[in-house]
Amino acid sequence: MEQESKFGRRDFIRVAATAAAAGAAWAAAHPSSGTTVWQLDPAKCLQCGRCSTTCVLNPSAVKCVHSFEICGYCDLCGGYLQPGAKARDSGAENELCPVGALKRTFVEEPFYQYTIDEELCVGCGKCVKGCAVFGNGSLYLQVKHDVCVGCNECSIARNCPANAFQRVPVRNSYLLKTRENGGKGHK
Amino acid sequence: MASTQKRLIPAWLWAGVAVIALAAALALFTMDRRSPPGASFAFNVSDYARISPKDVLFRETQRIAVNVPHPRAMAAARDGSLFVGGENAVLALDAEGKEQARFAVEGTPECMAVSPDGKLLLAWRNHVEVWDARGTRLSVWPDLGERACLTSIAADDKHVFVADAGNRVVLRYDPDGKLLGRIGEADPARNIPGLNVPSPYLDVAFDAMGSLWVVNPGKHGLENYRPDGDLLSSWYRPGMDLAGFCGCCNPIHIAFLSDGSVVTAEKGLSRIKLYGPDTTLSGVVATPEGLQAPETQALAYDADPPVKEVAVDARGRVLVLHQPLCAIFVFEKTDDMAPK
Amino acid sequence: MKLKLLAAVFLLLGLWTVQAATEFRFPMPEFESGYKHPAMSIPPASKTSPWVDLGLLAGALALSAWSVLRLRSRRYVFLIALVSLAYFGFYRKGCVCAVGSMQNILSAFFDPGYAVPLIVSAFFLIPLLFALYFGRVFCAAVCPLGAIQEMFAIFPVQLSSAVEAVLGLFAYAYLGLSVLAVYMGAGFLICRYDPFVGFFRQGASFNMFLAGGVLLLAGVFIARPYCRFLCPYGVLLRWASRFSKWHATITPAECIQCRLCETSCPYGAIVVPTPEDRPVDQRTGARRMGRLFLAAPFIIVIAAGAGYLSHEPLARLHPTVWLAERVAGEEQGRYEEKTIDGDAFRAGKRAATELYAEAHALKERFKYASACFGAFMGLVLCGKLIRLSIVRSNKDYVVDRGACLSCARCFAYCPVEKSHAAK
Repeated sequence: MEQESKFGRRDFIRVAATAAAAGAAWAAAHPSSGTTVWQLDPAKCLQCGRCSTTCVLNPSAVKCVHSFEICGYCDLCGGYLQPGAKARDSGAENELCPVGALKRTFVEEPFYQYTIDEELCVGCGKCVKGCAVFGNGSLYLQVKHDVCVGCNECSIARNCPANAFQRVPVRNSYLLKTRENGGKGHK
Repeated sequence: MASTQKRLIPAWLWAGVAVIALAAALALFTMDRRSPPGASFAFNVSDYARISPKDVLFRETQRIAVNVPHPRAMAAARDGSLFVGGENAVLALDAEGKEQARFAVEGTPECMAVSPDGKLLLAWRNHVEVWDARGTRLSVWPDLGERACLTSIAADDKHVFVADAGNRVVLRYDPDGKLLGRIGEADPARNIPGLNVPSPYLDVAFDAMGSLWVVNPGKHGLENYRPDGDLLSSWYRPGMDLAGFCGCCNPIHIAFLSDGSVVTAEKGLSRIKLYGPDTTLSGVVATPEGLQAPETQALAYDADPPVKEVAVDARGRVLVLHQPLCAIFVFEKTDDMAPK
Repeated sequence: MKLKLLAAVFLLLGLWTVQAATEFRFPMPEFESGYKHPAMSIPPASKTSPWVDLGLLAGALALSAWSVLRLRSRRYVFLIALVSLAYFGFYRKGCVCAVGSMQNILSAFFDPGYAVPLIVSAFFLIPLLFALYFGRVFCAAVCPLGAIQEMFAIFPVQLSSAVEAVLGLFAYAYLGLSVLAVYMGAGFLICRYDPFVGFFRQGASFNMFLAGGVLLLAGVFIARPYCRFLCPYGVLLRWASRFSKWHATITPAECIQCRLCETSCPYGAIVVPTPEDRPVDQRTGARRMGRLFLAAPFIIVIAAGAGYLSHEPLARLHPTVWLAERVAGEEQGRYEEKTIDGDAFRAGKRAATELYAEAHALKERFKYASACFGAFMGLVLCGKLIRLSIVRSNKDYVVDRGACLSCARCFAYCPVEKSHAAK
């Protein structure tokens, strides 16, 4: 008796399950929401250094970026030089960056341009703090999307003491400190 | 699934292997701790923030609460009264800090000064307004354009000097707002190095003799100008040590005592110091700790300096406008001060 | 609701913009040399089109089903698994994956503001639908986590069905915990403790690599330990597969009861025929069932109680609860050194009491949620027991549709297969 009715019952359950699963997936989906990626909000960042240690990648997908429009082009750069640096030259003992990723070039008296070697940068945020404390905050951390693998649960986000990580639309995937686009996305 | 075959390794052993593998994986995951970043990755200036108590010449004698959000501008009049500008309001206080009057303004004035005849000069980002002490706007000076960023203002009988950090210049006006000249622009012929202003901090002040001093923050020092723009003298003191001005651009605010010494406020290491007329360091007015700035600002959400203005009042007290606490810290020289 | 939240998000973004714009209006120096600053280095995310992922997923599933049900070819299944491992594993670095997508779907249910892209929904749904119609063909060859383990299953041994059943409960517990974590907002456990994703993206902590390595090595003998004993999505697929319309069969035609396939399945998914010489005692079975049904409420209540009692440690899964305990501990001097988290909290503007209150409220919710988790485990246990006590009389060697991973190993053991193929 049960054998006879079995197929019918199974079919019913199958159809019901199909409908339920499809309905659930459809209800959960946000048709308007495109792909999102992880990004950190420099306004919340505390430069604790965890970006360099808790990313699943090594070196981290978080790197320092430089908003040239905010930079003061200082000779005595708080992000470039050790706080107590005796000389203002590029001697390694005077450099703040522990991996030597921050480079400087002379522009004109008295201005210097600072750039980041992303191959070397580990995203520790040491220069970011130096720049924030003494300078204009033109150096700050961002998730570099050419490196980031886009984990479903970002390991840094989970460990960030400032809750500075958030998901942003893939089209505006950087939270930049710029005057022109004011964080609306990249150029 | 009873297998009749005799196996080399009994099934229970495999079960054990499975259990051990699962337990090991679980244990490895739960014990997964990342070591914190090493010391070489930490930014630390606490050594420089530490100040020996014997260097501190002043102590805080009063803290005046300022009942206005985001106070940003402060001026001390010759009669001892104080004015504080904050969000949408300007307050008039007496010398003890009691509120005498308040009037509404639009926005937050960046800086202010009291002219010898008692008028209030309020500077917004790109224009100056003249008000009387009762809150009537007397005149609005012309807009200085998008690039302007007014950060300090000083007035004597004949002139009003307005520091424009955005254009890296100090503008000289007559009291009616007529532009008379530009001070501080680089001029090798006159031996003027030019103002190097990396961030929106450029301060002007008169010394006890009424002579104009302009901070050259990028050069970490002060420059003394004649009203016509000739550079009289200058002194620069870059350095993280106590005698120097730290960071990329300091000091951010100055004020002169009647004996010719100058009070300087720094950002980065939030400290207020006193330099004698001979430009040597006399001592410290306020330590980072005394200003309630986190020692290194190591974990500050924003590195915006808490000190928005320093002034010296008619009684020679040093007034410090502390924005986050909405207060004026009053510092007075300790009596038992030993000459350094 | 969704619209409102979306609007709020945009508003917040807008506010951020305003703040950023007012904060950095200070003009750059004027350079006499005509210096122009270089462009910022902000490379866009080079995302593979979701349609490629979707197409490959559907294609691989269809091929897998075709290989299992029609071609009956282990070689093809293995090849598809290799391709899936290469693409979904090493090329896509393990993300997007169906196993993890479950958490996104759950998040959207618990928090209407949570945005799940269509692709993630599709990754969750499509393998389930395939399981409803063709069995666990996703596990067979499409899931990169399964595929990497399949590559290592070189000398598979069989576990006793009791061990299989007990260890199988772990998967249910993992599923329950994952749902609990998502419900409480404690994060995505499945992604966090994914043992193989570290290999895929060639980056993980040492412990994570080690855990993955241990499972892979154990998997040389105990095939696919993650799939069988841990995978939470596998539980859903197991449920779906039980009702599959078509499913892989050991024999293409009739079972001749040669017993050759008996040892072929490393996953314990072959159901042995009821011995004919031992007639089934229907009454014993019915009595056992009756007792079980009577006991079920008690089992569930006891399990719920156990869950309730374990709410304290479970609550520590939540970062806020963890932080509150840490901050309180540091306050009381229970820890020797302070953590960045504690320092950051103290540097922030929130009062500790506020944090404690929030943690307390969360713990209260955890009591309820943990009890639900316990009840779920009790239900699972009852279900298992009931399934075990159902006396089925089957004459042939058949597959357990829930447990079968459609790996196609057993096909080659069936002598009928050869004669059938010869025809």
